[in-house]
Amino acid sequence: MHLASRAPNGESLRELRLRSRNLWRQTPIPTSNGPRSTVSGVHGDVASLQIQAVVEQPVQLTEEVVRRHQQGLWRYVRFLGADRALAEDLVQDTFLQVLKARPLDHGDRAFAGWLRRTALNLYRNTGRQPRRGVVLDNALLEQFWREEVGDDSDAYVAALRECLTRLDPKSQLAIELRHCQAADRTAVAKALGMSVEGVKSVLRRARARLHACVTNKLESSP
Amino acid sequence: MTWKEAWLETVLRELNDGPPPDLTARIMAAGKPQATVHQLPRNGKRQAPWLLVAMGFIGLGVVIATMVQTQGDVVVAQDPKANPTSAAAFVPLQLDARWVYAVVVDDEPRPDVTHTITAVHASQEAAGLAIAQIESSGGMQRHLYLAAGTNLRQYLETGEPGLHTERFAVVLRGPIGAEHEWSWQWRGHIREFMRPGTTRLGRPMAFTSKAKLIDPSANVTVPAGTFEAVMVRATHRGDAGSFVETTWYARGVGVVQRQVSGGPDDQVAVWQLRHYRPGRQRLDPAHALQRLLASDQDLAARGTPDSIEWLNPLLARWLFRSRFATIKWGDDMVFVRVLGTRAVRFDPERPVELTTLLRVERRVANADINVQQTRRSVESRAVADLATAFRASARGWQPMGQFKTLSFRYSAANREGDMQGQLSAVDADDIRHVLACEVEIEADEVTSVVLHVR
Repeated sequence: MHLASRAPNGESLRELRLRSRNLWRQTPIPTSNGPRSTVSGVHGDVASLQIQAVVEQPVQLTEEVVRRHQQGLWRYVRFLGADRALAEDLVQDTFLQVLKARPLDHGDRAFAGWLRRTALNLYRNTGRQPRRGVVLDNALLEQFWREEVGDDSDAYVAALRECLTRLDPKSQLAIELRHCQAADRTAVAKALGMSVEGVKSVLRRARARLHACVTNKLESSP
Repeated sequence: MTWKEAWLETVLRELNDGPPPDLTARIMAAGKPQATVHQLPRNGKRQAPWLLVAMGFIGLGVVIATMVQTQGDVVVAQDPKANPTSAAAFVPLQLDARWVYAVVVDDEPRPDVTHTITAVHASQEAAGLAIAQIESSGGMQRHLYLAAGTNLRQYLETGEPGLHTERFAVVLRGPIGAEHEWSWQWRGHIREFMRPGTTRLGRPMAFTSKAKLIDPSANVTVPAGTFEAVMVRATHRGDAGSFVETTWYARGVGVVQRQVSGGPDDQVAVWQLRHYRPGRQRLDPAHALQRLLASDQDLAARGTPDSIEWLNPLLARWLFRSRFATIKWGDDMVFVRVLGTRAVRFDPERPVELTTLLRVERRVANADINVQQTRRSVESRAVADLATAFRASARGWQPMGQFKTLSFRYSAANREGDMQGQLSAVDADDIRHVLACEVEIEADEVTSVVLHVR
């Protein structure tokens, strides 16, 4: 740690930081080359010190940006537990936060992550309970989202839609009643003419098949 | 439930409820620099949130209900007159019923507020949840009411500026006459104006409420007259302030007086009934049907029908005020729709007739896109439900015996909110026939109804 606290020319880190800051101020920053530009500055008195700074501009909230991100964000807040009306409000409020917070443009993936974090905070502020089984922890949610959903939630939805049609009718009905219509297991059992335990098994197997089918589809798609 | 299951459930719900809406226009409009977020001034000055909450509670004033007794999963309707101690006996459920209230806040008269029942989505004779929609001239919000058991519940619908609550709360507990104290916790939001057509939810406010039936037969005098009324006092404590609400319910009239006091400014608001106009009486649909049979030359020429079967499709019954029947003369049959005093012949497989049905049921006009989308999804189900019920009736099939309407699948096709309904079915040993129905609703029109029978 001590070794790292000094620059190669013997300056302390504090001195180095001060010099870097001054150097930064003197360096002209071209901003007309797009949202992101790289600046390299070399000054004679600090020839050994290469400064690289990345200049980012804030995300511009355009219609195209909103269109690109709103569906994924909407699904995310629905996943957290919001109903349709609240989801719409949260998506709207999250995008409005972009104008206030002016997050820097680090690319689409980073911006989507920022939107999700903001939406999560807004959802927490509503005081609503999360969806059953979901924990409102940003790190865990992000990890799950990256691994399970990825950048394109549309692909997941399309795959699931197709996989649903491949289920046998009984499983299809059980899944629809239980998950789409929020019927309890007793009602599903009544509709299927099965025992509650039987319904549990059908649902478990159907979910496993759906998950395998969706995963397979997503992996095999180009 | 694992996270994967939760995500699966989320997507399945989306397949069921429709895809994410396109909010681009809303967001871009709200995000324009000149569209600063603010609350519109009310009467020249901004009101404290607690007063909005109180006013929201005042909105409870129009209490509409039907007598529905819940028995497990089955909801059985009862005639309110049969149980005079139920909360429903104190409130009429009639279309076009109107209440005009004189409002005084801190001894300062305010403009009168009128509440009108604009729709009753289920009727007293129907076995199901009864929901009445009330619109207020004060521009606060729409209300929904329902009764379960002997209790009366109320929900403030989202979409309009003002308070909206997150669930139905019991506002009057039956049987009236017994001593009652009850409490509930609820959360509410103030929905704020952003710009015309755009609102957003404000911060949530949590409340704990306690209510007590103070006097089952209190005399109260208001501009509309002197009434013997049930007096209920509720105390609402929350982080936005606490206030006390006292309400007088007169049998068959509804709320005749309400007083709300408290809050940080310790204001007192009093609503008194100035005028009450009963709504239209709900007529026996059988009478209208008999009139049609007598007046329609074609039907009269067929003589006395062999049978008249009243259809009872669950979703259509819940959603529509109309009643539907199949009249049979041997192999010949006619379908009929009855609304109030009017009975008309009806073909459930003609889209234009279903469009007319949606119009007469007032299921088409609503400025709130959230409500529109929800409604369309429900309407497509109800229309499919109705069409299959008619077809089954025409073939003499008995529901739950020879066929089942099992589930629906539909999706929203585009951002205009087009909705497609499909009744899917399953193979099961005890089902001999499968009915499927595809319904398409575009804008306010039913564009196609396709029935499949197997």
